[in-house]
Amino acid sequence: MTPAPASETTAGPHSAAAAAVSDLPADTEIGVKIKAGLKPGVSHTIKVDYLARVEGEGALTVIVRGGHVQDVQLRIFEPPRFFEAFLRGRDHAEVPDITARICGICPVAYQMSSVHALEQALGIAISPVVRELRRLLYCGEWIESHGLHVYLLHAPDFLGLPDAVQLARERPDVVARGLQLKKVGNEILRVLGGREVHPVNVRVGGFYKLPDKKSLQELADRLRWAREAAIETARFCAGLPFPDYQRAYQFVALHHPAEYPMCEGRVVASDGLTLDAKDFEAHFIEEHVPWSNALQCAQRLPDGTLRPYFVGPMARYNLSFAQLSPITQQVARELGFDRKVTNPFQSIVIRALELVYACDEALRIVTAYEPSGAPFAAVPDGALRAGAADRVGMACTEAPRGLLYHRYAVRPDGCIGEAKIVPPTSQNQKTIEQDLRGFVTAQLHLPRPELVHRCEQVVRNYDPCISCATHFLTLSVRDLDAPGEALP
Amino acid sequence: MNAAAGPALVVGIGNRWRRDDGAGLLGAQRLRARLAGHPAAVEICECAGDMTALIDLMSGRGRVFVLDAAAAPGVAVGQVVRVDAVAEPLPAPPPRSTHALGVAQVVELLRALGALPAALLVYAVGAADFAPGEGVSPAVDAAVDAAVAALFDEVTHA
Repeated sequence: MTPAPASETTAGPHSAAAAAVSDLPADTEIGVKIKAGLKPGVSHTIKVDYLARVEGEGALTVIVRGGHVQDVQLRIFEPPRFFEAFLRGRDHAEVPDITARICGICPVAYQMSSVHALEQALGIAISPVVRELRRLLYCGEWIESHGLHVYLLHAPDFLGLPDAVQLARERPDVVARGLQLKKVGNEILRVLGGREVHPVNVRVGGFYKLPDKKSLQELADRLRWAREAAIETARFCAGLPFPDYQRAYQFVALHHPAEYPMCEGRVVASDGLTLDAKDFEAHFIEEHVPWSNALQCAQRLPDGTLRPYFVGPMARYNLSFAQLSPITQQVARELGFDRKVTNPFQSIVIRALELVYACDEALRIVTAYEPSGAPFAAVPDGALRAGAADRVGMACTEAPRGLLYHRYAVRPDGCIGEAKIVPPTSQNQKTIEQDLRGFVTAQLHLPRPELVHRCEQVVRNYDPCISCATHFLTLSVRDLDAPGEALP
Repeated sequence: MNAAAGPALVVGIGNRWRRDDGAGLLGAQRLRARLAGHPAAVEICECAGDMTALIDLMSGRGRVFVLDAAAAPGVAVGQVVRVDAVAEPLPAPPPRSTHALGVAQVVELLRALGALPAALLVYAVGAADFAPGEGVSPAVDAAVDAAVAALFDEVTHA
C-alpha cells in the first residue's frame, strides 16, 4: 500500500545501507572483518537501518552466530493505518473508494477484492462486460506496478547501480522504455477508472459508467507498442546476472482453469491444497511479532504447525503457466523460462513476462469490447432486510504483489459491521525472512557492504509494499563478539 | 513528451494533509487566482501523488517553475530559495522508495534522459511541520505569498 507521502525536495532519511556501514569505525576490529568478509565461527549482526527502493518504511536485522544465521527480523515500523476500523459503520457502497486509498501503486487491487467480497455477501452477479473490464483495469495496474518495480526499483540491483537515476545515465534507452510502459498502464486506469491514481469509476456491482467503444479502441495501438516493449523488457531482464539461490517454496495463488488469475478462481498451493476464498482463514493465519507493526501470515497445517508461504508473480507463474497467453509462453520458451522458477532473484524476469501477458490481455479486451447492458448490477431486492443477520462475503484477487484477501460483514442497514484485509506483503514476510536466513548463510564470505546490499536485494525480490502491510523496511549486521556489538 | 514551445508551466507539489507540505499546492491555487483574467499564457498544475507523473509533465517543456516545501540544512522555516535546476542539481538524499521519489530525483532522471525543460526554476519554501493535519504554519503561509509574487513576476514578464 502506498499512502500519500510528504513530498521531498531536499529532505529525508539517508539510505540506510550506506549509512549503517559508514557508521562503523573503519579502524576497529569489525572494520577489518568488513574487508575480509564475515568470519565463520564468530557472531555478527547485519543491520540495514532503512531499506531503499521498497514501498513504505521498514528495516532489517540479521544476527549471525558461529557461521550460521541465528535470527532474522524484518521490522516494519511504518505505523498501523487502521483501515479495517475506518470501514466499520460506513455504507458498503463507500468501501471501494476507501480501500483504494490504502495504496497509490495498487488501488485497483484493493477495489477489486472489496467489490468481489461485497458482491458475494450481497448475492450480486456481475455482467460479462463488467467482468472483462475489471480484467482490463487490473491489466493497467499490473503494467503500471510491474513497470515501476522492474525498471526503477529492481533492475539497478543487478547492474551494480545505486538507483534508477544512475541507470538512466548509463542506459537512458532502457529507463525511457520503462517509463513509457508505465504510462500505458496509467492510461488504462485513466480511461476506464476515471483517473490514473485511485480510480473513481469502480463500484459494487460494476462501474459507474461504461467506457465507449472508441475510447478503448484508441488504446489498441499503444498496447501493441507496449506488448513489444514488454517482450524487450523480458529479454533484457533474462540477460541480467542472477545469484545462484533456490529453495523449495510453498507457492500460493489464485488459479482459474481458463485464464491467468486476476479476479476469479480457487486459492491453490504447490502442495496441492485447493480451497475457496471463503475458507482462506481456516488455512492461513495472521500473527503479531514484536519487531513489526505488520501482522505476519503463515499457512496452518493440519498438525497445527505454521508454514511460511510465497505469493506474487512467481506463485502465479508457477501455478498457472498453462493459462498464460500463447505469445507470453512463446517468449518464456525463447528465454528458457518455460519451467518452474524457484530462484527469487529471477522474479524480475517473471514480472517482465507478466508485463507481456498484461499488455496482450489488455489488447485482447479492448479489441473485442462491445459495450452492452447496464454498467452495474444492483443489490438484489431483499438482500438487506431489517432484523436479518449480517451478510458475510470473502474474496481473493491477484494484486501485482500477490494474493489479496478481503472479508466483510454487511449489516442489515447496508453498513459494514466488520472488515478484514490480508495484503500480499504480510503473507510474504516470513518467506522473506527465510530467504535471508538461507542466503546470508551462503554469502558470509562477501565483504560486508556487498552482503548488506545483497540482503536489501533479497527483500526487493518481493517488491514488498510496507505501507500496505501495516497496515514495513532498514537492515542491520552486528558482530556480537566485537567491542560494543553485544546484544543487550 | 510535451512540446518545448507553449505556455509556461507552474507545478505546485505537496500533500495538503501534511501541514507545511501543502505549501506547493497552496501556492499553485494562489497563483491561479492572481492570474485570473491576465493575458499571460500560463499552465498551472498541482501534483499531490505519483511523483513519476512529474516526468511526463515536465519532459521537454520550455519554461517550468516548481514550487515545493523543503526541509534542508541552511534553509530557514519561511525562507524562499530559488534554484536554477538546469544549471545545478538539486541537493537531495539518495532515493529510498518511490514514495520518496522527490523533485530532485525526477530532475536528475530528466537530465539523464536528455529531457530537461529549457528552463527549470525551483522555488523551495523552507518548512518544518510535516505532521498529519491541514493548514500550513504562519511563517510558511507568508513565504508562499512571497513565492507567488515572485512567480507572478516571472511568468508575466517572459
